[in-house]
Amino acid sequence: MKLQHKFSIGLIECSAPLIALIILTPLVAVAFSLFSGESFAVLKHLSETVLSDYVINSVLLVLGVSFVTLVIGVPTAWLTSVFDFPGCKFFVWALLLPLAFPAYIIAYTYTGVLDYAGPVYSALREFVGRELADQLYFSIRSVPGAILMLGLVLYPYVYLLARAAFLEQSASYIEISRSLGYSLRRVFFRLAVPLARPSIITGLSLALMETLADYGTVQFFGVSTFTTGIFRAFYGFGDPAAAAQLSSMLLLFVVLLIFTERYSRRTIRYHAAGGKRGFEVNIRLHGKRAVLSWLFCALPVFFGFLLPALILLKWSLFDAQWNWARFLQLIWNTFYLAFLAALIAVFFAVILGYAKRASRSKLIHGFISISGMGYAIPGAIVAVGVIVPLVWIDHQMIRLFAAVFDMDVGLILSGSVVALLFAYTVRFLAISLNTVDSGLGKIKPNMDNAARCLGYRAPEILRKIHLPLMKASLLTAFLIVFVDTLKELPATLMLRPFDFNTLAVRAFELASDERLVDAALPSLMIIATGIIPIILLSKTISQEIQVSD
Amino acid sequence: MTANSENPPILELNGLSVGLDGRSFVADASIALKQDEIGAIVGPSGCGKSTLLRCIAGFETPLSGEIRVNGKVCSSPQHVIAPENRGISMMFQDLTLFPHLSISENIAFGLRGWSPAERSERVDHLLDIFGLSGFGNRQPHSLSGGEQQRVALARAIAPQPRLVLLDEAFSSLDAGLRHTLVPEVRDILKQEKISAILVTHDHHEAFAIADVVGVMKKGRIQQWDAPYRIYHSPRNRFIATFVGEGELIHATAVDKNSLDSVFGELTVHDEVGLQKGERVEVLFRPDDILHDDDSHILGEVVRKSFRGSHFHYLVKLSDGQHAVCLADSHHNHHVGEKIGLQPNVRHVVFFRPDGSESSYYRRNSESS
Repeated sequence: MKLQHKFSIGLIECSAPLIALIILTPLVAVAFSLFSGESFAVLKHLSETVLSDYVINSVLLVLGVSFVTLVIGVPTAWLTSVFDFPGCKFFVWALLLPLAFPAYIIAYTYTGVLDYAGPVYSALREFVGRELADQLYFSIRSVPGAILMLGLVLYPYVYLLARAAFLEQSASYIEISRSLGYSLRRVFFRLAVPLARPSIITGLSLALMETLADYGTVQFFGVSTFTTGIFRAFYGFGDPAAAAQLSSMLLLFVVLLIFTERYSRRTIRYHAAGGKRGFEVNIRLHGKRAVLSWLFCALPVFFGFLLPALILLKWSLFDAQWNWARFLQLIWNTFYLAFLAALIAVFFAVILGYAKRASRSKLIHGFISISGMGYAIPGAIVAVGVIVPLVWIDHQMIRLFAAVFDMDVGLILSGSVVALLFAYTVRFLAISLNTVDSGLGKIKPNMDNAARCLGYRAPEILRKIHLPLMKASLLTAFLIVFVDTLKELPATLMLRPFDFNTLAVRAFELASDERLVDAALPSLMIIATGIIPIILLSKTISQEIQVSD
Repeated sequence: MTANSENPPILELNGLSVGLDGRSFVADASIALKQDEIGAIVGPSGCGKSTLLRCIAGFETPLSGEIRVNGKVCSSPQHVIAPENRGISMMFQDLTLFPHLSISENIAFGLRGWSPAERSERVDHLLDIFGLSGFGNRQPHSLSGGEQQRVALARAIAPQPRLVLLDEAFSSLDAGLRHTLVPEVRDILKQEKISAILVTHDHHEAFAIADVVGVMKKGRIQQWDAPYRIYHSPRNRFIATFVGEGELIHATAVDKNSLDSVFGELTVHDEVGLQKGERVEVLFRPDDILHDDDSHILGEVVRKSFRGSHFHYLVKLSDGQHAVCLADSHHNHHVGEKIGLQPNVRHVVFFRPDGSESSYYRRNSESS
């Protein structure tokens, strides 16, 4: 009995390094390419021509998106956590809505509206004349345009973390500083923001990871960055090695972000050591201040979600031409792929979660934390890292089957959804792992012990206590991975089997063919599903607030 | 099994050691708890008391020694009966109520194999004696800390275990609640004829609930005795200072049965074998020194605390040593004032300076 118990724990513990190994394979493949000398020629060529563009544009994007997300995210977080004004409760969760938009979809939408031939400039030309309109013309298909698009949908990361930090401090710090004669504005700049800095930086790093991972927006706007470079090397030159080398250079940026994020997360704990939350500060705003606050919160919601969603709705309902049979096929492909990916991610997360719970070994914990790294790695890099080892395995298999059975098996792994699922798992395991982990955290080890003292065995404890308590977390983890898979463009684009389309890929293809209106329907589907985890997220936020009350 | 196996102790530890990676958390523990007795183990945090309890519950494997329950070996280095098969309940410090089950369902959790009628009767009975009638259908999170702790205890004793283990079961409660709940729990355990062992760092709690108390330090049980004897006849300095208040004051042996101290001559039994001129330390509890305005022994008040029914003074004696003394509630003296002290020593507890071996002696035969 006891032996069996030990054995099953051991099995789970052993699986942790195994899963970590699977997750690490693509990264190692990419990193190694940096040292494989054969295609240095391509890289040398790249560095003489376009590499500086990649670096400059990527740096510009990072700086610009930082600016936009901070300017929107931090003040809105402050307004909704400290003040009370009409609509404040609504904005608390509405400010998260832009998160439902993948950046490339909001880019297609605004391009359709703001392009030279679009309705806005046509109207402008009518009103002010062609010459003045041309002077006023701002091309959205530019680096500033990309910054704006990315910033509009990525600021919620900063908002979310900054708000959590403000809520943690608000009661004690604000009241103390006001009693010491600080105005609220001085409290914001001198106390609130510096204290929330680790949280804000964490949110910012998440937004920047998404920025570096973006392919759809920059490709569509014709901005050359690392991701577009990786694609060009991969497809244009048909040179996976060069793509891998570019990937590993981009990886350096990403690793920097990972370290920043993890470091900040660690300091959050010290900063939050101010004790328990007291009363929530709720300063009522009136008149001009209330209007300004309302506007400041309303604008990001309007431009980041409401307006583009309405445009997409109009296009899909009235303007788009669709072959419904093909569209259903598209939905089926997308959903079953996302379903499988979510299932795998949750399954692995449960194994890792239990391994973490059962094990005291630092090594095991290290492996588990490595398995959670994938979220930071851009989809394009993951794709390159997945394709390289899978193609190698496939070629071995082809040779083996040809020699032994005299049959041609083709590309079993790299040419099938296996490659896609592999990539999704690498990229999204962290998300499911976090959710499952926090769910398991609620089941204290002593609950197991109490149940055992009352005569229950491990399988019964799992069924009667763990399963009911974990259901919600498992479902949340499943949904979030499901939606993220749905939105993931670059990895899907690179790894999909021949003639296999998903909503994201189809939207991208149609947009690339300048059929923006037709791209609206798949885009709308993605966003509609994307709202589900946001509702879940806002629910957990309000629950946390209730619990701490 | 044993000679007096007619009524074997409910729990018996024989030379039990528990440890990990060569470090032992519990060393050579040997205690016995009689049927229907309540025991308590007190000690500072990290002394190994929780590990000892977890080992009794079957969560840890001993390095050496054995645990017998009702005379039957339950744990030995070779064989450990799993917690779920021991019939020993355990209650934990953190509230471990199952959040998805109602109060009744939580209490009934261990009542498997009972008929529905028996089960609901048992649950109703427990709700009643724990003062939780009407709470049955509520969810754990809607209860206060004290109520949740009652439910946890009701759940632990519901299956009528032979023995229930309470791991810091009352530590998360505030002092007032603890004060009322602990004697209540003692009454319920006695009523239900369930033996129990409580682990705690608070000797007041241990004294309030237990028939027999063990004091633990660095993995060793220093003394396993009735609360009265733990307090009045502590076996060593650690117990003397950890359990209850008091100060150690130097004294010198005049002959084999008397000691000379700042409080005059103290008489001890000659069995102890005092050598003339030997220096020892005598334990003075607050009630061993009373305040008396007429006394010629003076002490300067260093700190005072008003306890309502009496004052508690920390005083500095003429030779620089400190002592604690009790004073009548109306004798309000200032810090810095010199007050008269009258020894009221019923029995002398003293420790020899090497510390390794210590002795005690009661002058008057005690009545407990």
